[in-house]
Amino acid sequence: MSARGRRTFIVGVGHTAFTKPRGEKNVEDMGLEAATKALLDAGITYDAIEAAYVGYCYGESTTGQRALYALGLTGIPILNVNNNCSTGSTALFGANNMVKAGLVECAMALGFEQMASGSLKSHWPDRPSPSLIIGAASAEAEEGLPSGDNFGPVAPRMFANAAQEYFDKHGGSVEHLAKIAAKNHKHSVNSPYAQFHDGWSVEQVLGAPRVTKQLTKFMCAPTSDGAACCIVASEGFVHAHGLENQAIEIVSQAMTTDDPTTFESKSPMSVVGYNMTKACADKVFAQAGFKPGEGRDQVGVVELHDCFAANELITYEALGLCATGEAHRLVELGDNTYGGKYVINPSGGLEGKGHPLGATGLGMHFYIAMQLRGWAGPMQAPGLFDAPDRRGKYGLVQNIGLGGAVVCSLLRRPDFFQASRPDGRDRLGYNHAHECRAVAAEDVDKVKSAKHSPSILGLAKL
Amino acid sequence: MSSYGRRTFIIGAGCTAFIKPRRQRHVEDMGLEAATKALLDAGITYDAVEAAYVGYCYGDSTSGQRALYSLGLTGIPVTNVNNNCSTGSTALYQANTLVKAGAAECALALGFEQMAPGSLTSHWPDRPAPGALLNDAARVAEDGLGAGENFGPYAPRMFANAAQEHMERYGSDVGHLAKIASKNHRHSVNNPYSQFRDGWSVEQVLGAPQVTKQLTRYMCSPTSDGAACCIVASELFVRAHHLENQAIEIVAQAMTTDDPSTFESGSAMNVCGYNMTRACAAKTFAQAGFAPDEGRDQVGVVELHDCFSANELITYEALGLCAPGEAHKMVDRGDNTYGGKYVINPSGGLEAKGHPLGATGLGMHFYIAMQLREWAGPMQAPGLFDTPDKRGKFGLVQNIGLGGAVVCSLLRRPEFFEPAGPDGRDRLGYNHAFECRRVTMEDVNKVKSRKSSPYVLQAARL
Repeated sequence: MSARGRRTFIVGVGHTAFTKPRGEKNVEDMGLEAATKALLDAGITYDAIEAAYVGYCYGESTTGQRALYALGLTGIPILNVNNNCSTGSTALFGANNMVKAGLVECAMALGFEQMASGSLKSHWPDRPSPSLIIGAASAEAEEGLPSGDNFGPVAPRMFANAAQEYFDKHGGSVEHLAKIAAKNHKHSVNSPYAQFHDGWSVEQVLGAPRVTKQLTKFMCAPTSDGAACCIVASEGFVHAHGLENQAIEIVSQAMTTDDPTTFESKSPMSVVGYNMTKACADKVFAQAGFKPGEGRDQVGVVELHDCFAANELITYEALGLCATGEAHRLVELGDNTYGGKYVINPSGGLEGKGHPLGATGLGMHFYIAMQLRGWAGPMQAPGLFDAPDRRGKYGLVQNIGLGGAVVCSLLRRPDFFQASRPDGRDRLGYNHAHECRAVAAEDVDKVKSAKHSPSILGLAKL
Repeated sequence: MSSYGRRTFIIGAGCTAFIKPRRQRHVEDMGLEAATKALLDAGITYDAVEAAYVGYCYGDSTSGQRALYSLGLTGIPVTNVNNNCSTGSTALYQANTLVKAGAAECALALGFEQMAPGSLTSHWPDRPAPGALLNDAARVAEDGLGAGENFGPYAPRMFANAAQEHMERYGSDVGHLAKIASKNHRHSVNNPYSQFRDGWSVEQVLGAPQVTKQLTRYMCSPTSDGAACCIVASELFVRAHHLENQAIEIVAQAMTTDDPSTFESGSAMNVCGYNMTRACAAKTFAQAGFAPDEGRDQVGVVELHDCFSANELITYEALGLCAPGEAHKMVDRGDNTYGGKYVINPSGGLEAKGHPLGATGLGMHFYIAMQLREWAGPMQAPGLFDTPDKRGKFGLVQNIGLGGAVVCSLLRRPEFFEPAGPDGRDRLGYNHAFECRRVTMEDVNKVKSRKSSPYVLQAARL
């Protein structure tokens, strides 16, 4: 796919609390909340949206329309999309491509999920799951490990084996996984959207119930309910709506799927998408104009896919944030948190904030956009703009779903960014970067389309 | 949404037999068959495909990758999409917009479904179905009709009520529904891909078991298993691969979703998306350069969404093939079949050929492409090219999913079309427009990528 096209910007973002799945809120209501916040943030109504991509893994088809119809029935194209855990950024990828290509001026990407508690499993018992084949590859890869048989549910086990492969090749240990997890849990204390606010220490993480040989419970993302929304627009739209004070540029973005090593290499790291992430990262840095291997120093803040602390460890390398075999050193140096080279997962990551499959990737972009706006309050990575270039450092997002697909994005303040008021914080009435509130009917009224249906809106439970 | 962009062409198309759901074939195998046929048809390998969109409603996320990985693990973006019964054309819509926008030279749209027999039901009992909204609106609309309470499963009942509304407003009757059904069943006798080839007469249709007050069983599409695939490419690509002898232009294509009248008008026809189709057709013909309400005379052949013959009746009007209130007169004149003004559903339509949700919309484009190539043999609509303009008449596709979304396409031979030299029929070894054969591993080997995985391919069951 060609990378050419117009500049695109995230102009509005919204997020709900991510909560333990209790079936208390329906996806249409969570989706309405996230989308309303994003529209308020951007200072536009739903009438400005020309196309929408809605990502979710669980639920009937056209659940996207069910959620968006509360905002209006404007007849725009709406596509329901999914890619396992990278569903949210898949929706954003679709929206971004539409704007980039000049087909629309403004597109919405919404993602949500209502999950069952416990480990992920197939919802379709009458047919072979698409992940059977990757499960088989994982089992074969496990046999190649000197540490012998692992145990635990399929998903954590696969990633635990990847960590084990890393340890066998490069050194490092479960201690490093615990440090990563504790780091994320410490970060999440500052995010009111996060599912967990426990701030567990390394000792507490190591002392938690064992899930596999390597992973304890506190090194695993929970299942969650929640929603998130990003609105993408062209430069023309940004200027027309006076959004120079909050538009964050999607400088580059790519999606990759598996290469043969996932199945042929018998490497646990490859099975869980290490090469897929590496290929994606290489693409986005190249798209941003960097030579191979370069550009990582210009990144200041990262949201990446720590479904398990094991994946965060190997992803440092896959993204090129450190050299091969140096991921555990990065942890030891504290270069993954405040005061270090990168702040990684200031939100608390999936481990700390939760992982509603359809929302996660969009949530990541929410957090990075807020970082680059400088609105992130207690979560704010310092020094992003202590740079000669007024655009400051890049934000990097990595979102992966096994099966599979990876989406990576490089975000940055545009050259024309000029902080001024009023901005989204005034329109919402509070700084939603680090304050989590519900929306009210008055909020929806401000952003709904002129072509709305009172009977549908009347069903919304805010 | 702006309609500008490059010209795009369907260069390859493939279809599997649509069969009664018996869980005999898995979606990854049916998908592999359809995609292999499309690639052979186009004379390219999977390496030429730069992005893929895979549509299906039932099944875990990343079923798209599971199917395509048999052809290769090339790392291209793969997105799983759905929109209920318009899922297949939703996948095509995305592939088309990508090429149109210049973001890719060649994109693949694949759709498949493995269904449960019987009426459509929700697979997610733990949450409200998005269709609940529509059911409420359908109830209100039914109360507004003169026939009293209807009966039957919710899907046929909704469409039966739409027909009832038409009958009360315009004087059509059940006889017209039977004529439509019989016409479709008669057409299907010529189609080896079709689930039913019984060719039922009007009397047999009327004598079949009653499903609602208006519809009998033979006026209803069955549930089906099957797959279909279309490959879209730019003009550059067509020339580079010498596909001037089979490329069919997607002159115009649009997707619309509901407007408030679906839920607010109290009209059974609007509940079933009459206005949504009307808006989509208007957009599509406008994109093709026609003034409002014009252009329908230049259409020769149509594939539209007869999930129930009731929907075919009202869709004639929604598409503007006749004036409002005149649909039954069109039926009486025979202007929906060979010898009449339009050949509508030469394939046999959904009623006869079947309706695997993810595949249907792509199947429609397969049939129209074959018509416009003039390869359709016994299904061939005559006289499409007895026109002053060598491009001949347009083909029109309409695919609707309640919930909802409509996609309409206007297809036509490009001006450079020249039936000379080897084409897809030679590459497949038979005319797959009207002969249905399985593929062999030899066929797959001809089209698979250099980056293929024997591990994945060995699991394929052709």
